[in-house]
Amino acid sequence: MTRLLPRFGRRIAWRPRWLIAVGVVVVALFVVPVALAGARIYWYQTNIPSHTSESDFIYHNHTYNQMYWGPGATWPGYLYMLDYQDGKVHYFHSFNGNAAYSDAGTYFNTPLCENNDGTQHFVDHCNTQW
Amino acid sequence: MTTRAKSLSVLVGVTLALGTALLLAAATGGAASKPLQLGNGNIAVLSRATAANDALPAAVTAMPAASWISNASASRLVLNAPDYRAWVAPGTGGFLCLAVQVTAEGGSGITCAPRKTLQTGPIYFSSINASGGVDVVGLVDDAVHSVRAAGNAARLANNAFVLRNMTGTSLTLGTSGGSRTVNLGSLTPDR
Repeated sequence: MTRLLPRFGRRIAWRPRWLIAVGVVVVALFVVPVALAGARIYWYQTNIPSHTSESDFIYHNHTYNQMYWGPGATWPGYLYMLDYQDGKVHYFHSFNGNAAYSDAGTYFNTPLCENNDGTQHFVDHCNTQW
Repeated sequence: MTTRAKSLSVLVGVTLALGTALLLAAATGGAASKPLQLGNGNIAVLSRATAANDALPAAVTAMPAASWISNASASRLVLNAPDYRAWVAPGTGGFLCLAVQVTAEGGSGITCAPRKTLQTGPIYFSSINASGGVDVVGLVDDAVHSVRAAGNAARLANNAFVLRNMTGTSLTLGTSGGSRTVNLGSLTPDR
């Protein structure tokens, strides 16, 4: 017991440093996904049924969202961004053909692309960038 | 005339009558229901002399989708309004591209579709405005001289139109040869 007390004492003494370290890690986990630039294809060469949204369901400071049906495509579609936390729509655009939209950037966004045609269609890819 | 010959002549007669009826239907009702072709996919504004503000903005050329534009220096400004600015540019693979800047969002969009799309409707890009209404910016063939939605006429110039707070989801494109109504589908979130 007497041997344990000094160790216990050292643990007490180290606790603030560990707390700081843990805090730094937590902050890093929070900030890094938002801050790092990157790109991600979140839907790749698959059919999208009519009026079905596809997303990566990852939040980032998204600034770019693209829907590429493929060469020759004329179908209508949607590109939009949802607030990951409250579901609010940051923007919503419809179009016909291959399309992309780059906004000013807001935090905690999840990008979506959607087939707005009455039938299922093959989509080459949807991708996002931040 | 034998019974067999009579049957054969009746069969030939019926076949001729049915064939005539089908031909008449194709020549009248069939032709009447064929949708009007709006033009040949021509965009005169691409041929006009270059102006200083025809250049695509950096916000558009910086987008990865700018690679869909085959000749950025051939772009033309087709709409210059406080809420939207739009350009047309030739796209790769015979496409036409419409680039739109949305002032309220500080964002830029590009949509590219085959030129032949203009034979049946516009190449368009819609937005939801600050009041929740739907605004549509679109590109139409030279042959189209009017764009309407539920009686509301769009401003049309330089092969481009803008229709603010659009009612419904259908556009009626007018030409000298008639009009064609195009349903754009739902323009608001499904949920």
